[in-house]
Amino acid sequence: MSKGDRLVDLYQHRLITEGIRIIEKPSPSNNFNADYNHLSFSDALLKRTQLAELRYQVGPVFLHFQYLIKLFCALMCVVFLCVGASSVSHFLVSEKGSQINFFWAIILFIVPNVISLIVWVFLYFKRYAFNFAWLTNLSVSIIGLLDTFHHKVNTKHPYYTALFRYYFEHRFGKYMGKAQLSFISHLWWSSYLLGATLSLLLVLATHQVDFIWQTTILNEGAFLWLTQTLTYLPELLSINVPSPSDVSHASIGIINPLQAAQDIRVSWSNLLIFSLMIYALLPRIILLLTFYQRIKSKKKHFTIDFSLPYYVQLKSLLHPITNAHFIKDADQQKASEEMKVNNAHYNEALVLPEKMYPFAIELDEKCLKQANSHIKAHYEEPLINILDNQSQQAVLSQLSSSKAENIVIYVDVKRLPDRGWLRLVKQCCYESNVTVYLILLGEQSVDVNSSLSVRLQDWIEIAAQARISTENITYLINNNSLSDDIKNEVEIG
Amino acid sequence: MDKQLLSVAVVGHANTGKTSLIRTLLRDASFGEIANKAGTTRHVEGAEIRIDEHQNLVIYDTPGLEDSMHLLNIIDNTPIEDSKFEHKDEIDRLLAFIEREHEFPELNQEIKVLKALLTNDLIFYVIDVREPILGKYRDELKILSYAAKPIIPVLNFIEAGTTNIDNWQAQLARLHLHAFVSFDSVVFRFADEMKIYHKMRTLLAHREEQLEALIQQRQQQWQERESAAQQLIATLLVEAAACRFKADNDEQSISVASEHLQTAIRSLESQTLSQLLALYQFKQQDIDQYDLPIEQGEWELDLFSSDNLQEFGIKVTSNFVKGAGVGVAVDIFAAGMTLGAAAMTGGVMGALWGVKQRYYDEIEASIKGHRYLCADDLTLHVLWARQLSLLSALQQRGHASVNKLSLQHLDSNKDILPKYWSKWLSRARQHPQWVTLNKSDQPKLKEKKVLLIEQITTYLTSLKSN
Repeated sequence: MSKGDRLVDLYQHRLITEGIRIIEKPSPSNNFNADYNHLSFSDALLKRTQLAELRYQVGPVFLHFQYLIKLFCALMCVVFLCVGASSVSHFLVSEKGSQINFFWAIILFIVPNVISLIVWVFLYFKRYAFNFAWLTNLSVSIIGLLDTFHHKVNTKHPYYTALFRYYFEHRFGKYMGKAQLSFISHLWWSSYLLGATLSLLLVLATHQVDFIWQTTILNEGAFLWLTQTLTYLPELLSINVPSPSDVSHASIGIINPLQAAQDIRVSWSNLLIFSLMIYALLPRIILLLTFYQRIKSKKKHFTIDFSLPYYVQLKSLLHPITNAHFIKDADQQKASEEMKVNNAHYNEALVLPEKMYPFAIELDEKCLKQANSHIKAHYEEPLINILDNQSQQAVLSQLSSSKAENIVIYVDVKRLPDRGWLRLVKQCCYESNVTVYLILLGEQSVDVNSSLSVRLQDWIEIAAQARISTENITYLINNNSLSDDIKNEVEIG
Repeated sequence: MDKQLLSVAVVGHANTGKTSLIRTLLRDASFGEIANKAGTTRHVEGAEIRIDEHQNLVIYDTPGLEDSMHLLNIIDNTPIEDSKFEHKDEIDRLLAFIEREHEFPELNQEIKVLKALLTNDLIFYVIDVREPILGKYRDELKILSYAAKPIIPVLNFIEAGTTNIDNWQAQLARLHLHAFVSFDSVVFRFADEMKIYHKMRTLLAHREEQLEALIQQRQQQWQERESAAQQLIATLLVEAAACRFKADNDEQSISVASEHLQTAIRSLESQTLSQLLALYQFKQQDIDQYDLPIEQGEWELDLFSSDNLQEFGIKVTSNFVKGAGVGVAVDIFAAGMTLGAAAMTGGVMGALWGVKQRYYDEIEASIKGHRYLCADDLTLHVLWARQLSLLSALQQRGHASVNKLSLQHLDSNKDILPKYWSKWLSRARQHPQWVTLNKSDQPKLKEKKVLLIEQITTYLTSLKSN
């Protein structure tokens, strides 16, 4: 495949991608899954377009539109060719068929062409000069009619109109509309002028005509100036054209009696055909080719606007931030170790045993103070607060040497019970006769704080796993903090 | 071709928000499981973040370190005298311990973490800053240091734990961990996410290119989304302002038209909302929808508004030129017989046709006493403020957030209006054809709509950058 073909192919793909956007908007469909991970976004989009195209069939619809537009343009070319050809016999050659008014010929073919070029230049360089809505509606009607005549079927793609509007907008809209309309305009003008030139050649080849000029309000000087201007180029190219005296003699009613009449006819024919070809047809053909190249270049450089919300969403679909989730090291243990306790019961009137070994786990300063003030009635030594490996080893070592049968553990109800806590408590029960008491410390009643209530439930569940009876669990509310709160409330009040 | 992978293990104590952090980085609320209790994550679960077609970043979520004290005790007492441990260092100690994993079933979860530490390029150590600083965290960090991998402490939930941040920073500094980052997986800030990647780039100098590509990609993605979202909001404003319904001059007709107007604007807002949610990868159930209060205003043609006059001038001129073009074509067909006359007639006809197309409906309505109902300025103002607040809320919402985003409670600041607000609305209101559901036959002037949307989007971009 040549580079040019590839570019055309890429253009078609991009056009189809846009067509799919028209069908899917506002959000892209998630149905066209494939492995896009190893592709760049534009390649992934190309792949998705291929997949989606299998369902949407946008390509054939666009090709059909392209064909219809080409057909319409070609038909109009034929019409203009015929108009150009017939205008010579109808309006140029006199009824007798023996005279051609050169001035009229120039006015008929070159002046409208120049005016049209001026209008074209004005429209080409003016912003918002085109309003395509009526043109789109008109074209939809004409091309729809052409379609019906051509196919004689009424079954259309479900998005026929939407796709046509997009296609029309693409071909004749902001991006390549000016180039496309310019191309068509020059094509039709070229057809018209070509028809006229060919017809003129045919008339001159088959008729002997004399060239004259006629005017009522213009003087001879103006005609002479015009003719001299027109002959400038052919004279440079050594083409036989009428001399100024021939021009003066060509005034109406003056019949050249000289033997050189045939030469003068040929020179006038040369000038007329040359003027038509060089001053009218050639600029149109040059412009036609220029805009043909411009359209090709526009197609080559046609890019999709990826900043549109549709494409940003599509990017997330094709290249999601997360490619895949996977389990690397699966949990093999049964997760059914947890014991569900339906009601968070605890012993509100827990009486601590006289002989015991108390310690705290992960208490902050405030809770530790609360725990110390609670235990001081029963235990003289300050509590050890397990915060790290070192303090944990110290507690385990003291416990093992004390041979205590009752262990009292203080924890903060707000903290999250975990496996570490469970393992430690289980490790503390070094003998079967060891009884563990759990004292939960808090600042609020669980009735007024739902998250605290959930956490209390967690503690009672984990205590059950550590075989601590609910009779040995209590919840202590810090009275100081409560009184502080009340004090604050009073102060605020 | 295999992709180049950069891997990160996210570790930390139980319930510090490891999974939440990953969800937020992945923009994926379906990753892992989150709950307000210990032991929720039990597997080592990975997810790939795509950098480009050749590179991925893999993030591994790990179970919480729930028994670091015991773990440290055992690791420190693990013998490494065996000859197969060449270096006799802490890594060997970890390896020796892992070899004996069957002896410690109670540390099964922690062993998974240790394996993740040894097999990944970088460690995110997630800290819940709301928690008090306890000695066990020092134990955890000590264990992590045995793996000899770069560690980035991530201070999570900074919104709720503001008061504790300084203490944590001081504590981390004592442990020679200065390269920490602050993050909130619920109240998300894109800049914080970028800081994480920048810190990674600093610590993994040999992976600089890969991380630079990641940073670029994430920034581009963020900007693209923001710009697309701004386009959606601008389009909504333009279409909602352009939306109007014709009513006869009686109560029943006005009431029906008013209902149609409300439905149309709510439908436009709902479409935009769905697209915004999709853009930021949230689901419809993440939002608690609340109907926009819509009041209708009345739209009347003001041919003499400066905007209208300008457009009128353009239209008349261009239609005149087009008409004249047609006239010239007629001339050609007539072989110049009527040159000038046809062009002039064509020009006048073209101009009249353009005026008819553009203003016929309004003039007819004015003669027949019909009214056009459209959304009033205040409604559009609320709609605008709501979308801006929604965009801001979506941009700051982490994918770990479990509470619904309520449209009712969005902070819609009604005081700040763009400078060209009235001009935008008036321009949009003159073009009912810009909304498909208006079914207007007026010329589409799509380019003008695109231009107006661009202007509003540019304003939103400048608002954001300020």
